[in-house]
Amino acid sequence: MAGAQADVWEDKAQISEVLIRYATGIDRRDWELFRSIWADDAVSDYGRGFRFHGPDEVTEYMIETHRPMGATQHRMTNMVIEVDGDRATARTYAHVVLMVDKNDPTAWMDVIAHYDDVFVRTPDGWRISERKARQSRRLTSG
Amino acid sequence: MADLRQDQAEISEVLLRYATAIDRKDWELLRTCWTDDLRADYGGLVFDGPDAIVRYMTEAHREMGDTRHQLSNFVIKVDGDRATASSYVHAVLMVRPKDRNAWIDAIGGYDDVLVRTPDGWRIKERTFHLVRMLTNGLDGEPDWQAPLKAEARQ
Repeated sequence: MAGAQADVWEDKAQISEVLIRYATGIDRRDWELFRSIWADDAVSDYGRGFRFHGPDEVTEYMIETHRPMGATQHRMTNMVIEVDGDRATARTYAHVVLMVDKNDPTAWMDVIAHYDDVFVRTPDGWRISERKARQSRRLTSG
Repeated sequence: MADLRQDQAEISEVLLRYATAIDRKDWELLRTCWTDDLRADYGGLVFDGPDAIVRYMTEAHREMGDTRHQLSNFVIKVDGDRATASSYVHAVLMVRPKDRNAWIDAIGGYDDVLVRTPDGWRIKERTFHLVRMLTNGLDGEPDWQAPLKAEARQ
């Protein structure tokens, strides 16, 4: 890939990797990996009053909420990324399948959601500075 | 080899543009996915030309709530100014905006032929095949012919 265009495709590839890292971090319960995607002043809004400031708050919330769960998958698709210098925006679809009770293999939640993100380029790579998560459909086993 | 990756990346963006356009109900954006001589076959529902498919999609989704056409498993082969692409789709359609229990859930795939045009890659042929459809909270089976009848009335 040639010249300035190559830089944009490289930026999109790196941003895609950060988006997947969100899923890998939660789904493997690798909280250092999960924490590494957020800018220091990141604001994340998961709706219904669940808003977090900074990487530590959102990480602590994710640790607690996933603690009782079995396996989970955050299946990320449809990454639509626009890069503008050291800033980027992205909309990503997520199909989240959660086995909500590690002691009950019949208990699950299935969420169709999307994330609207603002990314900033930092010395450590692209980081999420704002996230808004919204759900379109939620199914539960019982 | 570098050009192949560029072409694959650009084709991926066209495939995603189809989903983005329908899910945002951006019908002008949807129109930009196709060549003028598009032929699309959605399991027997055949569209000749961009206007036909855009009119159908506009009518079919007009009264729906959120829709999410989730695309994965892109297989893209480029040969000069022509390419083939296959992709998997998992479409979740909230058919009534205020009813969180009324939905269509369709798993299927697209097989496409694309051509390189002065405006970038465009889809010239598309075939959609269905693997599984689940519904909830609907009155009977979805009527895929209904949007055509609505158009005919206009």
